[in-house]
Amino acid sequence: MAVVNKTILIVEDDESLVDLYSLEFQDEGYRVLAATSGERALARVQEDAVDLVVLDLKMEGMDGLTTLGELLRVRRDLPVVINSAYPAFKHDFGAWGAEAYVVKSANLDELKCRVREALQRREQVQAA
Amino acid sequence: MSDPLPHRFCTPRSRAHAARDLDPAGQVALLERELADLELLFRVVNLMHATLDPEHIARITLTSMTAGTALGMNRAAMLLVDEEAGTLRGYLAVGPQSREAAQEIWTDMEREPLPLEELVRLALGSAPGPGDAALSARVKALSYPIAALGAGPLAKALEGAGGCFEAPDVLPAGLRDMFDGPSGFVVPLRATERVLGVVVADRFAGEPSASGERLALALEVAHQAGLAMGNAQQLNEVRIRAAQLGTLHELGKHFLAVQDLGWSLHMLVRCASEVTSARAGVVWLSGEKGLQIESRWAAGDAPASAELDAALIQVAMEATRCGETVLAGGPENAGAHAGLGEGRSVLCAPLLVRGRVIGALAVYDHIAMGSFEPSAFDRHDRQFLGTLADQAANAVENLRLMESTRQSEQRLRETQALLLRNEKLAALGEMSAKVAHEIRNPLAAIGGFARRVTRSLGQSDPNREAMELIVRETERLERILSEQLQFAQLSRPRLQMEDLNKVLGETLQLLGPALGERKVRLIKRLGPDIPPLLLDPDKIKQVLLNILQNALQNVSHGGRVRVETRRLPEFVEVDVANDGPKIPGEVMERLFVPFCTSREHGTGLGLAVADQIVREHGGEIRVRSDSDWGCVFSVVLPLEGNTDRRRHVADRRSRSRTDRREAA
Repeated sequence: MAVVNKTILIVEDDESLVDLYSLEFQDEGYRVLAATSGERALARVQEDAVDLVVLDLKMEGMDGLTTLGELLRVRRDLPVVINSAYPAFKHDFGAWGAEAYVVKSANLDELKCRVREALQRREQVQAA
Repeated sequence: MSDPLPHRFCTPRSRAHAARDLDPAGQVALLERELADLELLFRVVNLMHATLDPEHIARITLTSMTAGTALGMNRAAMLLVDEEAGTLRGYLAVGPQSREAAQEIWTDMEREPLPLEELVRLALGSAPGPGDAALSARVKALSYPIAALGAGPLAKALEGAGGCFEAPDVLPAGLRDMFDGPSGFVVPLRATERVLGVVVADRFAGEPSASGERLALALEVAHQAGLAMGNAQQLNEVRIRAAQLGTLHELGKHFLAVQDLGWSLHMLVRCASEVTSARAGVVWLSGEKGLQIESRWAAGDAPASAELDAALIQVAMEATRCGETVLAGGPENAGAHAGLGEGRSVLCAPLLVRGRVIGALAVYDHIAMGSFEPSAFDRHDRQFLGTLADQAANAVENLRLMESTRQSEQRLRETQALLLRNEKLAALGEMSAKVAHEIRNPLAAIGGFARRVTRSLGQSDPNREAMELIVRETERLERILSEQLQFAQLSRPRLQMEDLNKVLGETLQLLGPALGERKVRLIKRLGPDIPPLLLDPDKIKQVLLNILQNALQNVSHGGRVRVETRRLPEFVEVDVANDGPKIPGEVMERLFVPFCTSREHGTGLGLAVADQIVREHGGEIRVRSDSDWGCVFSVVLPLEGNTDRRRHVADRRSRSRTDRREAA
């Protein structure tokens, strides 16, 4: 899969983490966009061509799950990887709507892995 | 038992009549004798008036009859009328058993004739002499039905006329053997309006006519005795009545003051027992299983056994059945209540409140106080128990109601305390969860950047070790947080009052895209009167999600899905129906069995988990197929109570066909 030209939208209200994720994903070769709220995320998705969204759940204003619903309404095939400090929803909603559910950690290996997998799956589907 | 009027039984000639036949000297002698008699009578009456005890009066009477310095008869016995039983019963006797013993007494008397007062004092003070006791015992065993006395001397005496007899065969059997004369008399104990009994006395030595001479005085003594005993009896009755009324009053006050049902019942049964001179008492209250013993009391060691209790409860049931105080057992009613045991009598009154039986009160084993009291419960006792029961019934019912109200209040308080505790726990859990989450983000940032820095350092960089330490420590912190969160989750009950329609709405929203994708028409019928339910919203969302997922997988492109909520008398029902193909029976049965799925994707856990969650909420999931809708899931949640009805996996596999599927 060519990482080149893949745009990732990070939806996260904690700015330090936005910085961290931006740096990390850029290092991987992605183009990184950021939104610090659900509303801004929706706007971004409509303005820009986004290939994948990394979504935090607990945010001010529109919470993560609602954002997820809205994002999917706008683009029903948009891959979303939930990245949340809350492990509870992993078995609840994770399987539905989102491509993957990652529990937020200082170790970003799993997140990066899930992102990669999701993008790969999307490519395969589009190719089919 | 009827004797023809015997020719040997004569009534006294009046003295006046007798005096006319005498000369002046004779008349003087007669008058002197009369004076002596009057003086004697005076002394006897004095003695009688010094006491209010009927037994003492009886002893005084009989001692007067037999004292040498008084009437000088040899033997005397008193028999009393038992009005309730209609019998004349032997009460007391004084005198020697045999002539030989009598000889001794006379010899003694001639040596030192004791005055009447002295003899009476001796008679009242010490135990009766052996002669007296034996005679008394025999007399006490006598009992004659009054109706059967015919026209004999006893019958005449009961009508108020005393008389002499010169041969004992005029007496009924029993007395006949003891008072074999050759002469004697029978005199009535006349009280104000009735005859209380008779005194029979005889002489077995001396002239036969001596009895006749003594008869007039004997009549007077007996009359005085009758009056005195009548008064004593009345006084006794008044005393009893006063005591009973006093007790009723005390008890009434007590019932008003004390609010403890147990204590009140105890006082009730004790009071009833003591006032009726019973050895023991029992009180029952009506419960679900009929009458149950609530309290019992006994003076000292009263016998208690299963047989006794069974017999007692029979009496109680009879009393409650006919709504009246019932007397069972005792010497007269022996046959009817055999289970009670030898000679035992039971008095039982029902406790009625506005005609409704709430229990029963019984006393048993009447204690005879002295020989004057009957050995069974009498009409006074019966009346008293009845009144006591009536008064107590209302009070007991009130106390019972108060008690049950108190218990309800107690349960309510306990439930409130529990809810409060749960809320606190929930708050606590939430707080620690919140704190943990607050920490997670900064920790992720710290750790993340530390890793970046570490990666940028060379192998031999002096700072590498320090950076690696930082990374390790952040990992450790993350682990701690994870554990903390897991624990917080466990101890946090997430039940809260939720609007089911709202939860359903939110779930449907999430599914919007998926529905759109398959061009499914969603029919939503949310009942307007669904009350808030105590549930875990996230878990219920999970349930609905899993079921909807299942429905979506079954529905064809362009098909319909119906989601409906409705309120039933005791439940709320959520229907999720799809118009896909009818699900075959075997598949329907296995729907909820975990890991059992015909689908490629999914673990086959979805519906099993949903089932478990619904059971946790005290509800049920049912599935059916009907003509319009290929598959209808019904989630039924109770309106009240959230008893956990989870089953283990093993149970599920053995469920029968009929359990799940409703009739199509």
